[in-house]
Amino acid sequence: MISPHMKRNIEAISAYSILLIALFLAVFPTFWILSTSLKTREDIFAMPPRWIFTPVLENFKNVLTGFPFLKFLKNSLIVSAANTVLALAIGCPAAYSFSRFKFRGSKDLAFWILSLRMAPSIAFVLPIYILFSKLGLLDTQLSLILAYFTYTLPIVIWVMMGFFKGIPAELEEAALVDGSSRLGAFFRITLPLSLSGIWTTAFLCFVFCWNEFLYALILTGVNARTVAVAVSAFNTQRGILWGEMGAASVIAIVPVLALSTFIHKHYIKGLALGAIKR
Amino acid sequence: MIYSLYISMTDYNIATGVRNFINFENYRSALFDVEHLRSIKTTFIFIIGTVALSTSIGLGLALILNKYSKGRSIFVPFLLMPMMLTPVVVGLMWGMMYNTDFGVIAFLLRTIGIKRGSWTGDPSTALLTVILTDVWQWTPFAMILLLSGLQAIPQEPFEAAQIDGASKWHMFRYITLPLLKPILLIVIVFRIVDSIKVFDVVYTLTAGGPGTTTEVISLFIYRTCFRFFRMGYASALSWILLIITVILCEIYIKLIRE
Repeated sequence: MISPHMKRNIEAISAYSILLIALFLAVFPTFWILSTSLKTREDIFAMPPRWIFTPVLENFKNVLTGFPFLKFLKNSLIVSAANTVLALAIGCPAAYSFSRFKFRGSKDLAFWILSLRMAPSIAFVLPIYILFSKLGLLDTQLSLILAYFTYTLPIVIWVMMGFFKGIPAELEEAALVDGSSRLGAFFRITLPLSLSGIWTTAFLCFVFCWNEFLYALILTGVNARTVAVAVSAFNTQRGILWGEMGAASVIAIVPVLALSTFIHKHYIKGLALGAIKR
Repeated sequence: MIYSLYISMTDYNIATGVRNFINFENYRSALFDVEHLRSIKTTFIFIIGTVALSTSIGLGLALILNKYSKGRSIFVPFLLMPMMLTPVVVGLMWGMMYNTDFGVIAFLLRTIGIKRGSWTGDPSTALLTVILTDVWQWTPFAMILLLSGLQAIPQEPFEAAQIDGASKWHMFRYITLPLLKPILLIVIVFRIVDSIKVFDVVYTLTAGGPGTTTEVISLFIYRTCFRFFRMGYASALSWILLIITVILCEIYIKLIRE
């Protein structure tokens, strides 16, 4: 006879074992690529896989010296940062007016902007490609900064709309009564109050730009190539350079993981706001 | 966008420079194009597989995490990790682990006695590997949204049901699920929309192969446009895809407003 107490214990144990298995599955591939990046060529191809080995930094050295990888890192950084800042600068005022003013068709317009986020990039990349080739913008950082607006602007507008709606309009009205202008009220009161929202949104935009692949693959060549494309390029005609690819992958995911560790609470909130408050 | 609509009605080919206005010919041929229809079918299977798996696993984990709060703050950040990774890297990483010669998955399966050729190279398992990889990356997304949904559910109905002697399954079926329905719908729609767009993982893991067994619609358009340079036809395909997505969005908005 199993007592209720024992039954509860068994349940808890099985629940935590499931969680542990999930944890292992979630972390293992990342651990594996990290270990690959630290292995020598022989260790990588060893069968059965070698769990214990002497780590070497050779792959990282090859990636950073043998390829213009630093340039690609710089490209990614410039494109992601510039797009994030500009999307926030354009998107925040737009989100603010959506959240405060009702005008004809404002709801339809807001949903139309949201549908941009839902539309598949492959459907946009063609007209953008043709347009940019006419303008001579292909393979420039500017082309990616502009192209990513199709995704980051809707994100900024929708998430920030949620945050602005959470800030009582009375606060601004008080400022207006005290002789501040509408713009002054926005900059001095609403914006500082939604700072945590701005960080969240900035993180979402930055991660998107950093990870984006399709636009970067199509719109850039050698000059403006980003890290995501560069990583996939280690899959060369002569075979896959596994060690180098592992090292490049690690370099590509480290910035995002580092950012996420100290912002992940905000990140979850942003995701929830972006998804739920629609 | 309007320019692309015009292009979609021509037989524009970037390689040859030919460009004639041919009206809706592209759209008509798209409806009968066997490859196009097959890529839609592949996308469809992919969507069903990945959405069903990631949502149900995500729901399971969310339920456990909701009930057993001890250690939640340690588990959650690690469980969320796959979601943050660059999709390209995820594709390459899993490609490495699936590798027949030295991949760790092939090795583990071999030790328990399952011998296969290549997992990504075999037409019968290739799509499955792509689906599993995508599920791995996006289950955390479903999990975290559902968890926040579960935490918003009030406790009172459960206490009442417990007094009435309801079983656990009944409580889940008649209290948790209905209360969770709106957020569950949001998660499902988001996953569907994201799965229609899938490109990076498939491109790096199998590149649509072997043959065309994992060629999803994005990849098909990509190939039409940047391998065969049939801009006009590819634009028409993009428009068809866009229309499908818009219809899905409309359904989504209807659901939200209810």
